[in-house]
Amino acid sequence: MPRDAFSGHVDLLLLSVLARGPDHGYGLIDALRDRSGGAFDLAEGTVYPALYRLERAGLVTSTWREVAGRRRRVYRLTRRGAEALRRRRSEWREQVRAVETVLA
Amino acid sequence: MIEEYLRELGRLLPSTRRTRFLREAESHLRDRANALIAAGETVPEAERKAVESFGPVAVVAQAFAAAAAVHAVRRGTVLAVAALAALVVPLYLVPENTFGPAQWAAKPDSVAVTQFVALAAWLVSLALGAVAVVALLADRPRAAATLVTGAVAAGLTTGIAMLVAGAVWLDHAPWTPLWATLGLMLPATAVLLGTAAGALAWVRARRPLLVSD
Repeated sequence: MPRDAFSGHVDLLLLSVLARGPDHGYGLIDALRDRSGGAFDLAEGTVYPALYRLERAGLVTSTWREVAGRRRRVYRLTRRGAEALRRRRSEWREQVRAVETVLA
Repeated sequence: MIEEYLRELGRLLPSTRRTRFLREAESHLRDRANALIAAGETVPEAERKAVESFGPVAVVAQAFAAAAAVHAVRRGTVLAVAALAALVVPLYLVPENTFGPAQWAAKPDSVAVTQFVALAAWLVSLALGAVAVVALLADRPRAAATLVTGAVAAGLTTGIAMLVAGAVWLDHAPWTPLWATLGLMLPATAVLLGTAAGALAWVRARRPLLVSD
């Protein structure tokens, strides 16, 4: 699958992974790769600006924490982020249904 | 190789949140390299693969710059509008109604014209700043960036015009006490210097976006 296939949906994917619990950027990227069966293959460095953007929008919060002997920025979904995830997930499913209808 | 990558990334990142971004990048690269080493890779090969999977420096820096620019636009807009509103309004209302020539009909034309120019530039700056805020709320960061540039330019014009208006005023009202003179000129100077510093910071924040365009 082309590397930029997911670039327009990074926010939705990150919110979805964070819904399962707080994590740092490296952990989030590995979780995305595992849950997508290896299909998620964006440049890993571009995920951090996406997390920063989500934080500025109030959808996630972050703090520095000591994890496995190193200070890492750990991200957590906010209540507003959970609502945004519900809304965007619903919009995505509608889009997929509409595309599949056309392709059928 | 990780150190070299981080040096290059630090050179390209905007100043906003640079330290935080670099720390997160370093933590990630070390984790990735350590995982590869644990899987049997040599240290140089692990670092090379970690850097490769993180992405080209220019691509990553551009993504950071785009994210940080939105924040810089918002902060710059709020500060510029707040500074102008807080300083310009009392600067006109107080001397206008307190010191001679205080009556509008008695005011020399040179004073009236320079005050009008300063006031007009201030209103333009406020209007552009307000529209920039609307553009941000409408998720149009590049349009907001252009509007903020215009607001900052108008703000600089306001500061210069205020200093000129103040100098012309004092020339026609030499009996103005020292404390009032300072109260007139210091805020105008602060507006000019503050807006100039904001303009410089804004140009620096926008540079990565302009280069990529």
